[in-house]
Amino acid sequence: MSDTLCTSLLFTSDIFPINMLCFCSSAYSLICRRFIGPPVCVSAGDGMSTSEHKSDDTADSTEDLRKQAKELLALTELVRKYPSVVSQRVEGLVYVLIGGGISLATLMFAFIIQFAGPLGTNMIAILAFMIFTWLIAYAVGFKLIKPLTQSYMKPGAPEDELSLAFKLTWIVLMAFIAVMAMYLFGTGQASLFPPCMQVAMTIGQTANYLQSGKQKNASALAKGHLTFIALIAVSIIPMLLFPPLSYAILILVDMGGIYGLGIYMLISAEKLLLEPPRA
Amino acid sequence: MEEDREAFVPARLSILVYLYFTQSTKFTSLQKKLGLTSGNLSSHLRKLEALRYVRISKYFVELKPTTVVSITQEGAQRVQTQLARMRELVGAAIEEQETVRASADNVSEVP
Repeated sequence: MSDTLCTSLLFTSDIFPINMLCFCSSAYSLICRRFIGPPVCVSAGDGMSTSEHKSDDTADSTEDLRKQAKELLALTELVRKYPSVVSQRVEGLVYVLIGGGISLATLMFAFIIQFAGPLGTNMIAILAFMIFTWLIAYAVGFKLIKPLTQSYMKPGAPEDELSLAFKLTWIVLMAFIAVMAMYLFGTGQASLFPPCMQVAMTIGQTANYLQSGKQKNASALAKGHLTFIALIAVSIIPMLLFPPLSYAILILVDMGGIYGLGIYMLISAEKLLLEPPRA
Repeated sequence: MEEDREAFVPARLSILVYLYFTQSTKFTSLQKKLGLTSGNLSSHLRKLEALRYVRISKYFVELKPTTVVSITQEGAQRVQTQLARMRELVGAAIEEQETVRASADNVSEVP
């Protein structure tokens, strides 16, 4: 059952084979009566019922109930893991959107520099652009997408589970990036900006990893996330060795990594639905 | 327990589990999916709303009044705990049946 069921669940509004659902809830009361309470009276069919007939029918009925019970168990399993599936889908989507957003921001930035002349290279304009991009990313990620999971939060639990240390880390990192950008671009050492950016990204992604480790079912993402962090950290070496290539490496590793991580999360969410029920 | 009995009759459980997966849906779609009459569905929804497991909102879509039903956090939490309870109960019953069956097979194999 679970394969068909799970396939129909993927991003569809027509999400649940409802006959199965109605069947499951009524099957539950039937099963309880049969297995836990007094046995259900089984019709013997025709008037010539024999004890053999009776036992055959009872065996069939028991077998049927056992099958129904197993299907009910599959439903309960699906209910148990669905919140993690939704949260992984949302996280994956956020990463893909962030990747897309940064790509778009980079294109807009290049456009501004090329066409706006002196205004494009003005540090205040660059900073304003960066702050604008962060605000958009915050609005999309936390105000539009994160609320999608609100039904699966425990009642009374704080909506925003981000720890103070995590928030502070990102505030300090953003300030660091801004100050570094001003200083390095101002002093003509633009090629040093990508390695500095990677140091900030390594710390930031490690904070993300530690933060997500506090939540349930984070193990599925651990491998992908750790690989991404390692890639960012290692990319600093070629950036320092080949400064002219540093921007290309930055875009390749960071953008590619963010997209890759987003897609990995989306795939692992679907895999979670398809994995067999636990014993 | 009284609350459980009221919320988890088969039709209401179906409504809650369906909403658990979709989060919110139109009244008409819910009616079609569950094969309930509108009066029947309304009465179940009113009961679930009174228990604060669902939220009912009305909107105008293309000048037609549309009723949208959404599950609340309490509702989603109740579905999870109730189905976990079902899982334990049914799992234990299956296990017990299989043990009985295995021992019966063993007895029949003995000459």
